[in-house]
This record gives sequence, C-alpha cells and structure tokens, in this order.
Amino acid sequence: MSVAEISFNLKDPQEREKIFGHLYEEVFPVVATLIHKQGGSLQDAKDIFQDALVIFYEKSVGEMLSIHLSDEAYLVGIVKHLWIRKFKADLKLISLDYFEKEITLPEDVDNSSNNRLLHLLEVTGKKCLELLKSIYYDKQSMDEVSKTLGFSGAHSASAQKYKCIEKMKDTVKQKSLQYGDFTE
Amino acid sequence: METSQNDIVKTEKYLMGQLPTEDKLLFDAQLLIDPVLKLNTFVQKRIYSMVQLYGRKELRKEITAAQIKIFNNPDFQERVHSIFKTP
Repeated sequence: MSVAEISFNLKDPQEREKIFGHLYEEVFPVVATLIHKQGGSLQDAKDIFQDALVIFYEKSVGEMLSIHLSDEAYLVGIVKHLWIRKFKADLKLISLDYFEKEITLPEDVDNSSNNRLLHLLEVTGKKCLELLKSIYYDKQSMDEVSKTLGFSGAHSASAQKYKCIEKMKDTVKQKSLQYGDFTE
Repeated sequence: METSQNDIVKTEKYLMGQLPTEDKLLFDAQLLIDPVLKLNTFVQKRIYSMVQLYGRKELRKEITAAQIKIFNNPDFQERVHSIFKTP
C-alpha cells in the first residue's frame, strides 16, 4: 500500500478502518520493539502509536506527507519524535535518519475529553460539527462533503457551512462569556 | 446574512493565513480599533479549534476501535507480548 493510496483512501471511513487495521498489524510490532528497547511499556507503545496515527492522518489528509518515506517508515518516524518529546529522550539513544529529521509534529495532540465548550457544541449542534469536521479536519472538498453528508450539491453544503459557523459563533459567544473564557 | 457571510469568509482567510499581505495588514489594523471585529475573530478562531478537537476525538474513537479489534486476535496479542518478554 503506497502513501498516495493511503492519502486518498483515508478520507473514506470504511477504508480508514481497514488502513488502521493494516497499520496496527504491520507497524505496531515495529513500534513496540522500538519502545521496549527504550525502556517503555506496552501501554506507552499503545498511547504513542495512537497519537502517531492522529498525526499521520492529519498530515495525510493535509497532503503534507513526505514523499520520500513509506507509510511504515513515516509512522515510525513520528513515533520516534513523539518518544523524544514525551520522555525528553536523549537523541543519541534514539537515532533519526535524514528523512526522519525532516518530520515535524504539531504542538500538541490534545485530548478533548474535558472540554466543556466542545461538549456543549456537541449537544446543541452535532450536525454542524460533523459538517465543519468534514471540511476543516478531514479536508474534504465541497463535492465530497455534499456526497457523504447528503446535500443536494456543493453550493448547498457551502451555504450550510456559513449558517453553521454563524450559529456556532452565537453559542460560543453566549457560553464563553458565562465561562469567563474571553480573557485575551 | 450576506454581509455576515462575507465577514466570515474574510476572517477565515485571515485566520488561515490566506489574505494577501496588504489585506492582512489592514485586517490587523482594524482589529486594533474595532472591538466587535476582534471579538468575532476570536470566536471564529475558537470554533476552528473546537472543530479540530472534535475531529481528533472522533478519529481517536476509530483508532481505539481498530486497536481493540487487533488486540482481540490471539496471534497478534502473543506476537506483541513476546516483544515485551524479551530482555
């Protein structure tokens, strides 16, 4: 499976399930061996691999993947960077090759479990969140969005996008004021 | 609605770094003197970060499901556990 194929197919949830299964089967044992050699546990390997897959996905759909690396090598490279960042590991103990050094990570791969505002938006406007997620997170084109979410066309999806942003702006303004979030 | 949509489009371009330099500088200047624009820009930025947070949350659900599925396979489980048994 090439990187190009993965980039293309990752936007399809059913294909994504297969690709994640494939990556766990093929790459996780490599990552587990690496983490074990660094003194990490199975749980460390699972946590880091999950973060690495999130980054891998975001870079794939954002078309920022290095074309010099296979999907396996790229994932392993991300894992190495995450390990160095998480455990402030000594660069001498974990080697990065030329292409791995080129990999950059986002500042954080934050977890959303305790976000009050997100929880509120999920309760009040799940459909809008789904639409905006398809556009901004999954980087789908308006044509893809209209097909997957059942709009009559790209124009209709685009119009709904603006309505959703408008609606969410009202919710955020109202609730953030209550939460005292506007401290900037 | 039209004006509001135009504002959203322009603010989006500003936040995504897609405005030409001249327009960006103008937007920066407007932010300094227009508190409504400042608030709207801040709120729109928060919406994009909430969408990213939501995207990651949903993606993590899919990844966790894939992890559970593969670890339910005894052969895979054995293969991984044997890695951690080696000194």
